[in-house]
Amino acid sequence: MELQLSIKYFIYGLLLLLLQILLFNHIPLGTGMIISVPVLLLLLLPLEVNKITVLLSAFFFGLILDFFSDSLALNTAALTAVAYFRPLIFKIFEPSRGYESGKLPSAFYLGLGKFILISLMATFIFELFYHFFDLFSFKKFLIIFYKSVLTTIFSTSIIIILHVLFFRNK
Amino acid sequence: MNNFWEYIRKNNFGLLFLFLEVIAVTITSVERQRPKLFFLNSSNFVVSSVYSLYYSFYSYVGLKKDNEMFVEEIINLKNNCPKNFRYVPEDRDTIKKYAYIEAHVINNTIDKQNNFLTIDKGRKDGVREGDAVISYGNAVGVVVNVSNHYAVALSLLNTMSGVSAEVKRTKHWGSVIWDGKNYNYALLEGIPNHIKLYKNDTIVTSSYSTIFPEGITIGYIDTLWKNNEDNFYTIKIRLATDFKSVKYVLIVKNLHGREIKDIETQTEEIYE
Repeated sequence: MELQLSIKYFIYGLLLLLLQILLFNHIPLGTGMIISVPVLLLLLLPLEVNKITVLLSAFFFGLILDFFSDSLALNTAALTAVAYFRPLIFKIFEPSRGYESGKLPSAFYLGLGKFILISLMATFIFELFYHFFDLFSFKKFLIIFYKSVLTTIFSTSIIIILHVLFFRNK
Repeated sequence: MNNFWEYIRKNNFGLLFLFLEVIAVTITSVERQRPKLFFLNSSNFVVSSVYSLYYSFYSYVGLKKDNEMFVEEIINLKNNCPKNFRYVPEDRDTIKKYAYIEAHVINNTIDKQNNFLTIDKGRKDGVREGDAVISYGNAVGVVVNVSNHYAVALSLLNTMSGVSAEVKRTKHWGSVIWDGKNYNYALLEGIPNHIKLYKNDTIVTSSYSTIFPEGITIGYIDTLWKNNEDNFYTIKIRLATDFKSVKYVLIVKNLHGREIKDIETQTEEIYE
C-alpha cells in the first residue's frame, strides 16, 4: 500500500514536472514571471504523511525541477518553504471535527472554496520565496510583492483547473 | 549542552527546513556567480537531450515567424548583393541597379486567357508600374497597375505578356509568350534552329530585359520542333513557377529601367 502510494505520487510528480518544463516555463508573464504548478503535488499529498518526508520530497522535487529549468535553486527553496508551512495551512482550514483519516485534501473532500483558499496561500508562499530568492533584496520588496501577487493569481487558477480536471475521482 | 540537544530533537522539523533552505540559497548564490558549479542547468547531457527532443517537435510552432525572418533576411541580402551594383568611374561611386520588396499574393487566377496577380504592396511601399515579380528566384510577372496599397501584376500566364528570355547554356535569346492552353507550359520563340538544344535546358530572363534582372529562371525546355518555313524553333517550356500555389513573391525594381527606356525611345525618335 505504501509502495503503491509512492508510485502514484511519483507519477503525479513526473506529470507536473513535464507540464512545468515543457509548457509553463515557455509562457512568460513578464520578466522572471511564469506560471508554477508543482505546488499542486504538495497540496495533494495525504495528510498522514510524515511532515519530514514531505519536506525532503519537496526539496528533491524542487532540485529536479531546477535541474531542468535553469532557475538556480529557486524552485527548491520555494517548494521547501511550502512544505514547511503546509501543516500550518491545513491546520487553519481544519474542519471542526478534524480531518478524516485516509482522505486526500482535495477540493472534493474540503469543498472548492476551502481548496481555493488553501492553494492561494500555498502558491503565494511559493511565489514569495521564489521571487525573494530571485531578486534577493529587501529593498525591492514592492517589486517582489507585486510579482508574487500577479503570478499567484495565474498559478492558482491553473492549479485549480488542473486539479478539477485530472484528479476528479480522488 | 544537554538543553541544546533537547532543543534540536524537539524542533528537528524547523531545523531541517532551515538546513534545506540554506542549501538552496547557497546553490542559488554560488550558481549565480559561478554557473555550472552544481550542474543545475540545462547544459548537461540529460537535460539537453530531453530539450532537443522537445524542440524538434516544438520548433514547428515558430515556423511561420522564422519564415518571415528569413524572407526579411533574403531581401536584405538581395538588396546588398554585389550583382546589384555597378561602379561608375565618372561619379566615382557604385550605383545600385535593383531593389527588392517582399509581398504576398492576395489574389491570383490561372484559368483565363489574361491572368493577373494582386499583391499586397503598392505605391506607398515603393512599387511602380513595370517592376518585376519573382517567386523563389523564378519569374512570375510584371506589375502593370499600382494603387496606394496594392498592385496588380500581369502574370506570365497572360496572352499579352512577353518576356525577353535566353537559353542559359548557349545565351541565345528569344521571347517567352503564353498560348493560353495550359498553366504549366509556355512557348519560347525566336531561337534559330541551327543551335543544338536539349530537353530540360534552362530558360532564364535575358540581360536585354529592362524589367527582370538577368538570369531569373523562367522554365525548362519540354518539347521542341523545327519550323521549316522560318528557320526558328517552336519550343514548349515547362514553367518553373507553380502558378497554382504562388504565395510569397519579391518585387524587383530596376532602378535604371526608366533611364534605359528613355534613351531608347530618344534614339528611335532621332532615327525614324
